[in-house]
Amino acid sequence: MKTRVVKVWDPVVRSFHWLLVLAFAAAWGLGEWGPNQMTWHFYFGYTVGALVVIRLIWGFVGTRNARFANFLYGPGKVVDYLRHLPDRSPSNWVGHNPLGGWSVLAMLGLLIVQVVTGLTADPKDYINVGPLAGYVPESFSVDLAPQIHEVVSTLLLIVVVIHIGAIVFYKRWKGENLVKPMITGKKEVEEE
Amino acid sequence: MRKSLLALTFILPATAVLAQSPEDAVEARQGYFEMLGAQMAVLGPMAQGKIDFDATKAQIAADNIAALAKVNVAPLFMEGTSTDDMADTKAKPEIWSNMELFGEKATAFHEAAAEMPAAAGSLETLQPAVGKLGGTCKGCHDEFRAK
Ligand code: HEM
Ligand code: HEM
Repeated sequence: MKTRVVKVWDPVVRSFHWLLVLAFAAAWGLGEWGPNQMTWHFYFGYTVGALVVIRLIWGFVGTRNARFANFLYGPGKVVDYLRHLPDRSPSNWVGHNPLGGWSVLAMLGLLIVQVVTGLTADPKDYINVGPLAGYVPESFSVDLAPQIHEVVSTLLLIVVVIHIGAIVFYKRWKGENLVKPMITGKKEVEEE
Repeated sequence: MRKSLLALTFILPATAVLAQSPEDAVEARQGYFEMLGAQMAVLGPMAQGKIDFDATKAQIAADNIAALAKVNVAPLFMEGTSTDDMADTKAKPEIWSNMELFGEKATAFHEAAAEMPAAAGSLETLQPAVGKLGGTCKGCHDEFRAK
């Protein structure tokens, strides 16, 4: 079988991804187990926020595989793709596949909710007050924002575990390495 | 008008001698935390540079916090006043099932509060003291305050 090497992920997508992994892990760990003065949690949270904003913009103006319009597929395509998912062969997909595309959107969406509820949370300890807490109604900053922030932190953890599980599934079950392209930018795909 | 005022002077002491109801206890302890919050609302923004440092105001708030920390609020945490029992409280039942840890968190607060009066004189000393004090609020909230 012939193979060819194609460029899938540009440097923006790759830097975004691995910086996000670091900043997310730090924000999560510090949120859950960090010191009571949450300064560093805030800094890593801001970092996540900045990364996601850059990625959103890149989703409109970036290279081909980075653009939302090119990786958010309709239900027909998703069902089609799902049918072949159990096959023990590489998908050879260039860019996010129809299932992965939506999971990317879900992750970005949850991250936005997490950052927004962090920025607007007032946990009433007078030291870890989100910088935008004063601009929203108190019922939101004091009650809703911290509640959502906690629930979504768990949701994010679940989604990330599924995300990593999917990567492992592709490697083990389908014999397709998705991580290497996310590092080098290049993917080897089989040709007919 | 005068008559009803007169009546009031009789009613007030009369209700005061009744045993404290769970609702009264919750209201009182929430009032206590509001009082703490009112001092922190001065100290927190000052320490974080959101409002200008004012030694006089800082000293009053710091002294108030230290005084409030000496109030024994244990009776206000009466049995049957957790989120399991009532709607208008965020006090988790863990307070009563893990009194020891609750006591530790309270002690951390008492200690940090006791350091406040000496720290309020300058912004340099106020900042770390407020950080530590606010940290004890979070430390207890994490375990014992419902979201
Ligand atoms: C070490 C753990 C991780 C590995 C090995 C990993 C691997 C990958 C890979 C291979 C892709 C490309 C998928 C494809 O080919 O369609 C990807 C995309 C993505 N991952 Fe991860 N990931 C990890 C952790 C995370 C974490 C913690 C987050 C979020 C909090 C995350 C969020 C994303 C997002 C948003 C994308 C889409 C990237 C883009 O299009 O810009 N990943 N990941
Ligand atoms: C994606 C980024 C973020 C993640 C993964 C994250 C994660 C977490 C986690 C796991 C907690 C502990 C939740 C709990 O059990 O109560 C937490 C708490 C908190 N986070 Fe974040 N966070 C992020 C961003 C932010 C941002 C940007 C801010 C503010 C600028 C922020 C402010 C807070 C505050 C104030 C709390 C304490 C809430 C409370 O005690 O009620 N977070 N975060």
